[in-house]
Amino acid sequence: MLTRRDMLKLGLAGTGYVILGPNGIISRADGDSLPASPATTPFIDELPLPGVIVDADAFLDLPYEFLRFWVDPNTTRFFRIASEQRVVKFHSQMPPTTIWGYKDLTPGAQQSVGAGSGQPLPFNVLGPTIVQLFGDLGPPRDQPLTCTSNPAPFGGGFVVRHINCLPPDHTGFGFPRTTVHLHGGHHLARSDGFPVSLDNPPTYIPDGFPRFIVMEPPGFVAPPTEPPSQPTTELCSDHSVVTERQRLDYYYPILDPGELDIVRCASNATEGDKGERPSTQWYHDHVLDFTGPNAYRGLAGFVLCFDELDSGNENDPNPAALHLPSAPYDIPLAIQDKRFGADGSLVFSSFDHDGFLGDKFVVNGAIQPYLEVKRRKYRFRFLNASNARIYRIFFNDGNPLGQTFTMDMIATEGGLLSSPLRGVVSFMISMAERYEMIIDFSKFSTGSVLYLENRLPQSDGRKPDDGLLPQGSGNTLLQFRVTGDPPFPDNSQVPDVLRPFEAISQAEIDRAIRRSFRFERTDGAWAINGRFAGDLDTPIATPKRGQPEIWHLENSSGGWWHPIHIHSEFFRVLARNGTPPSITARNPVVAERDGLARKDTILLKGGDEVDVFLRFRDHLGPFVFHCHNMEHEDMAMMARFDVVP
Amino acid sequence: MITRTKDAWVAAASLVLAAAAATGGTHAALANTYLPNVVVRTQDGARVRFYEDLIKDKVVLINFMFTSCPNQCPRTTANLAKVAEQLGDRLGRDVRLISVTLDPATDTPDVLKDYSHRYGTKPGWYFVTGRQKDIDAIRQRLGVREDTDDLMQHTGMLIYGNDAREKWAAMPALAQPKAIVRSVMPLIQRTADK
Repeated sequence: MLTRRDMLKLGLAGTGYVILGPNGIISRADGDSLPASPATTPFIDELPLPGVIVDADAFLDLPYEFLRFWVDPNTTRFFRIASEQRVVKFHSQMPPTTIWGYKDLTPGAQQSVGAGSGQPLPFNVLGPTIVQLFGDLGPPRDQPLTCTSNPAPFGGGFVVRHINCLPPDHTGFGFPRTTVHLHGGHHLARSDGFPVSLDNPPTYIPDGFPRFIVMEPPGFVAPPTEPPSQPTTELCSDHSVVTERQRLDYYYPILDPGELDIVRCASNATEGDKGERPSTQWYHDHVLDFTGPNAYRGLAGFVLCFDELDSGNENDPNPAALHLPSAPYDIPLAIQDKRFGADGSLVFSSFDHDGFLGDKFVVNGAIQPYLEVKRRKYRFRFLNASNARIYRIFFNDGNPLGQTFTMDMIATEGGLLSSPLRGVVSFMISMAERYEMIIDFSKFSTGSVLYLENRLPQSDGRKPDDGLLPQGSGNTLLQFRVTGDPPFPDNSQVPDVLRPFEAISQAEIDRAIRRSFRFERTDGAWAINGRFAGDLDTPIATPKRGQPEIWHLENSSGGWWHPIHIHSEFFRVLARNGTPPSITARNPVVAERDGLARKDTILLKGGDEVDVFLRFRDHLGPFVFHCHNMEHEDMAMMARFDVVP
Repeated sequence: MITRTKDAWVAAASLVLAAAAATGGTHAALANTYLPNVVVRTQDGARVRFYEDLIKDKVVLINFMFTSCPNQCPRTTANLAKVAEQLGDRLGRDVRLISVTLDPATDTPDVLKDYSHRYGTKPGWYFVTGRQKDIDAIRQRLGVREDTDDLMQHTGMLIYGNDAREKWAAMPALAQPKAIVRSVMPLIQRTADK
């Protein structure tokens, strides 16, 4: 643990700086605004792994547009997920905690298990993991699609029926109205989790855009001006009858970008872009003004994507498969920071508009857990699911005078890199970003103890503090215990070519429409291009479907950092502050370089200007882009754009 | 290095807040510390307690202004006047507008009254002045005290919330009036359902 003197040397004192000591006791440099969470001993609880979602029987009481264009009960998968209040554990030494979480409503739903042991655990914080497969259901994706003037329902993909079972009369932070954003998806506008119901939803969208997109809590009584909410056949866990306004059906087609243009006979149709297949996505609440507290209460879960290349089977007989480390050696890690009361309850401040910071690191719903690992390669899918904390993660032996070890980066938000970035010493991960790292434990002897450590100090939601903490300061996320050789040989590989894709051509850059968005403070509130953010009634831009675009994103609010998330399509970074992004393994902003990585969230430090290339394909209608510091997002640092024909 | 003052989050108040949050919201325990219960004066000269008389159990919209502010404040007040209009008879009954002056030395109740008349404000809209340190405490607690003493840099956020449910959020006070009303309505509706 750092002493106060150490912190003075580092210039950290006087900022309410919080350290999690190795023994779980929190020390602080001076008066932080909220009382410390109860002390917890780190590394006594096993890393949890949320259960994988279970297929429900097909249900066809769906919106007309889904049945007309999309859903084929023979090839489409169906899931039911409730948002509910439940009691979980975050740490075995802490009292139980009431959270809001997603729950798989289908009989046989899986509970969390230990990521190493497979044993049931009480850490049921994250929602069920949706495992999404390209190409194994629905029409074969590897054969060219053909244009048909009157297509039958396309089939494939999956429907999620989300149901709001949150307590309507809840007191405390958060608000029991929900929409759900599948973050990283290329999906219908109506299934994108638009943050608010529009009085005048666009009518030109072939897939429709419902009038009521926000799910109300149980017992909702519609205002006299609106139709009453009729009962459905669905039930919440407490057997209460769900009404229409409590639920929304989301359809996710799982098409490669561009494929829909072919099906619909678009004149500019090209082959679907298989290089754009994601690998780690997540879903979370997205309701206007309350996303931060709602997600903090627990409304988040993983979506993991596979296909014939990234097949999730390191022993795949298909020679074309990559054979990356696969389950149980493929482990998602949702990193969060939270704060707890003495009785285990979650603590939050609705008046911390800069961004709420916790003082406990939580991984997959457990405070500072451990993972027993074998001497072999593992794939870790990092997701920063925090409200406002940015991390810089190192893999080391936890000793201040000890060693730091390297990792191989294989993926970002937009899926696998074209080739792995080997020898990465550390990486910075801002809110909603994903990075996938290969860690090879075969070089460590049995009995070794290793750590994932966050060495980026942050005492204010605006941005991290300057500098890095020394190794072994105690801000440890996860402990690895090397327990021995694997029961079977490690057949996994990390090939030099992953999912190749070409650089953006100069011709496309030349014909791109250029737009500029300046994120700033105007008249004491967040604005985009001087216009008050959060006006979701009218689009700030109307990109034409298929048109190449270059968006210049500029952070003019120097004291704040903003991770900007653009919905619907991945983008590629052309330049940061005028120069192409760097590619060295020592630079934590490694994965931006054009041709190497696709992103859906980009961190703008104070004064940063970033040019990103993107193209909105397939799906028309209103989407949003916004800051993913959830408190900034909730203060309307968000704009709507409409993709138009 | 950022040195944003957070002193007014005094430890005692924070402990009570955390304790209340910890027990799922023992609202009564918060009465004096959740939001500053300082005595302030309205544009009618009435002495009221900021929390207990203006906010407790109400749905409120709170913004910050001062009457000599040349640009942002007049536009904001005009914008909130449109919000008030769209709220109709809900203003005063279901929801309150509270405009807190940042320049209490100048903005006496009489000055605020003149100012409010200029915008044709209706019952349910309170302009509030008080001692500087009490105003500062309100700003501090609501998280909108800026680093600078330059009043021209003051917050343009509209803090809105339902006190009985302890639900609070914020949006630009210059947002479209329709958008403001749309955000506030769900808070009102649940209160009305109660």
